Amino acid sequence: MAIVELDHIHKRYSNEYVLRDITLSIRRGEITAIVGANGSGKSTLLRVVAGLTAPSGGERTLDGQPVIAYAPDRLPKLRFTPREYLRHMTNMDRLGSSIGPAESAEKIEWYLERFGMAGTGKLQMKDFSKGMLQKINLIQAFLRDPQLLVLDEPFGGLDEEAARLLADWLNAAKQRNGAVIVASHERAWVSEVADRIVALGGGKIRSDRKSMPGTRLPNKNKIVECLLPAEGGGDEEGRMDGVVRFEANGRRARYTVDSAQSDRLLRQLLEKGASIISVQEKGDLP
Amino acid sequence: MRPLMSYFLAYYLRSYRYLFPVCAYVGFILFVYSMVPNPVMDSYALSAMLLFLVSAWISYGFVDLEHESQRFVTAGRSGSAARYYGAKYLVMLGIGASLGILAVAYPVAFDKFDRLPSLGESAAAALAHLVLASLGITCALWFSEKMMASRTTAFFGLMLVLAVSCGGKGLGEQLPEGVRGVLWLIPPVSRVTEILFRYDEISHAWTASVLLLAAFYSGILLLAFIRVNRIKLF
Repeated sequence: MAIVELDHIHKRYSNEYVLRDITLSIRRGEITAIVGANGSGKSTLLRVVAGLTAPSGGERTLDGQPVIAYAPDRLPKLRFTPREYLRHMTNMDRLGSSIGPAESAEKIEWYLERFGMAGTGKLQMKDFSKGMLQKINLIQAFLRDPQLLVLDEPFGGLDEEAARLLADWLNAAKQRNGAVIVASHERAWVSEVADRIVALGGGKIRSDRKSMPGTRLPNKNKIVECLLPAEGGGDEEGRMDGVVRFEANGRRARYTVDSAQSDRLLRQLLEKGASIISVQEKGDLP
Repeated sequence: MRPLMSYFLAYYLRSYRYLFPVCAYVGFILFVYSMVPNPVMDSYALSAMLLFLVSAWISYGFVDLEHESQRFVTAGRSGSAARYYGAKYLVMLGIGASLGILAVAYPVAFDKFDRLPSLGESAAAALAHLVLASLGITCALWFSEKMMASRTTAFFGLMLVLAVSCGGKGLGEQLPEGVRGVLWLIPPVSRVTEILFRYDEISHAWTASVLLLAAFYSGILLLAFIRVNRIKLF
């Protein structure tokens, strides 16, 4: 069942559209991954889902009043110790809830210990590394006990052990019938946890497909460059399953595609009369 | 709202952005009262007007202080733009009110006046400091990053509003009779200081009316700001 429904959402900053005609359901018991190149609209989409950014058009509908936790792609270097910061955050969360300060403090300690951050003492977050800040960022989100978890690049800066722990927590949230939406460039981890992968490009949904969580796919895409036929076309292939990015400049087009789907894309392009210029392997998701 | 306010206050205090405006105001008070004796209501009118300017300075430095990515985290927890910005306003008002109390109490406590102010004079002075602090804060809200993308335009725009607000009475004298009604649109700072200057000549009802007008003006600015941000979100 959908916890958030986006219906033909547009978002415009000044005169530039960041999101175009996005229709998306975020369902309970499912981990949805948003992938796409820098500037494709992932972070804006996440903030619209979380209700933090108002869409310029379209409608966002919530199922009831779910607790939503949001973790940005990075926390700033704050002049708080992690405990001070997390205490401030949980004090805000405790408004109207039955959780007492002692219970909140226990939860903070539990998360800090799990992430190996219990020994930071009086060190302020302004002196933290990117990975340490990311752990605090994730902790603040998990401390809300949310029904919808919205995470922007949650694996960024995490070491393998912390990323594994995060993957476990995401799966645990899903098992509790929570909804999780993550934007990520980390292809391996996306493949590991996501039930569904939504690819954004140019502010539009390019593909929306089911994934097989638990199977870490090889960390590779292919980039197909071709010359489109003189009569045009190529947009349809840009929306094919597995195509995570499509750019065209005149007749010259460039597709970033899942390795597993690249043969099908090549076949379709050749059938259309396109001329293939090159096929290359790429390490990470765009 | 208290946890939100407590967080904002801690964030602000640790940024040290309060140092310049607070030191400037405290320094001004100490300087003005370094010579004695001083006329009661004229001194209060001066410190109230300066509090308007300092509160605008505090507000300008405070409202956009929180880093953007952290703002989304805090805003998500606050539950609404009204609560988020309401808490920020109350923190700033608390700081402004503290400076106002200092401005009203210091000269009395340290015998800096030519006479002891009456209870009515002290109350009017305290309320005038409070409403002008609020007015300074709410004027500056409209020149925050969320409302004006260009910082240069915002800065000079705020300077203009502050100058026009403080010099409203003088400006009114320069305007033709027919268009003086437009003065009711500018923040009524000079009207408030005038009731302090002329405290003995005007009625208590008029004093109360002007203070209420300034409070009402500030309230409208705050509510309109919150309303705009409820639509724009964060």
